Amino acid sequence: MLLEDFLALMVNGVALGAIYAMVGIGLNIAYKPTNVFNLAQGEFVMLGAMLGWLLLTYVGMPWVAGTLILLVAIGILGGFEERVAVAPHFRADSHHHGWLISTLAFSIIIINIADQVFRADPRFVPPIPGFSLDTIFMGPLSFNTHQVAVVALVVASIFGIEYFYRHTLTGKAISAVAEDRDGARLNGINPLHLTMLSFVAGGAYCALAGIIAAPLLLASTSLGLMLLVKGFMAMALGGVGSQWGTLIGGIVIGCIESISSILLTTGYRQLVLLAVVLLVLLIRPHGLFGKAPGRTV
Amino acid sequence: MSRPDAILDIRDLTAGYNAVPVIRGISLCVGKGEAVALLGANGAGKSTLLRAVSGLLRATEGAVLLSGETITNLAPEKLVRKGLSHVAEGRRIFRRLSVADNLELGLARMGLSSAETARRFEEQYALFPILHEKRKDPAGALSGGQQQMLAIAQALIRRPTVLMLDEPSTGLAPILIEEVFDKMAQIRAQGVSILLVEQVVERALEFVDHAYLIQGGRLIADGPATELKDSSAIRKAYMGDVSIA
Repeated sequence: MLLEDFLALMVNGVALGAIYAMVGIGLNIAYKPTNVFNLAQGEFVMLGAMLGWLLLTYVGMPWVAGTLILLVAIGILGGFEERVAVAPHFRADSHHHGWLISTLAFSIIIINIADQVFRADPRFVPPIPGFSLDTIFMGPLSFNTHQVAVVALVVASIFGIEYFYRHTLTGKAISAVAEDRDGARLNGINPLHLTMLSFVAGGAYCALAGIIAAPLLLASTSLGLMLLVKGFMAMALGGVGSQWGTLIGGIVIGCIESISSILLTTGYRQLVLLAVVLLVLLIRPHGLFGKAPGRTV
Repeated sequence: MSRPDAILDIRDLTAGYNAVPVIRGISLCVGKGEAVALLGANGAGKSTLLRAVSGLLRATEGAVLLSGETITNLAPEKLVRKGLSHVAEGRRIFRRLSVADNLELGLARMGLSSAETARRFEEQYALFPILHEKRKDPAGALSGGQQQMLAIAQALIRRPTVLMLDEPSTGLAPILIEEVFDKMAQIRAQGVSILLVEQVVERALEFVDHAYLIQGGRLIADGPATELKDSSAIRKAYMGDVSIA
């Protein structure tokens, strides 16, 4: 393999990995105060991409305005999901895993509606304004500026999320609920408010992932499940709850996928990917940067 | 059983898990500025009673009144604003957050001005100087005794009228247990009513005015601490119904 080819594949892998990481981080956001993995979040990413096509390409709205509408709409959808698919489990105080089915059901409903509305054709969504998909050559390196923007956006968002959790009262309250739900309640914190807030935020974050992923991956209704699985792998590899770990995990997955795409056939590609994930989890069950639970009460 | 001066008035409370009652028909009173102990063997239902009072557990029968107002089955997050603080067993602080963050969360939903917030912090730092010294450290890095102080400070920063403490001395060295009781005496001197669940029975009886004994989820005796100290009821509560010649 030529150096140029290798570097191009790596760049592609990093950008792809950054998108996987965003899906994983979206899962983390919703998981933190709830201990619920929102399995519908892959479809939120898909909706971000498809509505991105609808608003930006079909309607022709400016990028910023279209994206804002999209984030709000999918954020609200996340909040709605929390009310109908997750909150009832908490209210019943049944610490079972009913959410596994109910969030999956919610995702199936979304994808079926989306299939009816959008049909299966892949659609083009424009890149972030000011960035482009044209390839730039820099010595042996080739990339496009949208790829750079995606990676920069993920890194910036992680700084933002970590700042929120560490330095705002609401963020600290979410950390408190994550650590000890009853303890938080005894301090006057209502976990149900934070649960809903986290689903709204997780939904909006996934929508953003969708709209910036679409120029690279093309928007299609089959995007959701694939990204949910990759996002989940990124999160598991990096460590649940660790945003930086999830980013590293995503990049590892993206690069393995990218490199193996020219060395291996499709079937072997998935095999190698899963083998790496399983191997890492075998050695570090809580992921590369995950912390073992501090205590169980 | 209920008295006119009661701040916390628990009447015939029954509560448990999955409809199986753990405590049955317990009545208990804490007067203003009074310290009351709730004693009994492991599994007698002491913690269950506190959890039912603070709303973490649903009471199926009976009533709880705080300063005359019915608070039965009110959600715990609402209850703290009414002046009841519950320090749960096992030093339930937020280990990953700093000491100051833990105190801040104690005031999270009180809606205080920043000046008032600062005053409340000062109060707690005056009572627990070690917390001021370690305010930037993660709470999980504190020693057991310091964590207990933080858990108490977190409850106290809301200036509750009633403070419920669930086994604050568990797992602490004797000298630290003494320190915890010392702090509780200072808190009581400020007019806060205390309902204390303790395993260190003798020390608890020295501290409180009145004590209640429960066994198998039922109240078996109560009386002034000085009288209970020498009674056979205590032995009965802890050892079961054995007659000692």
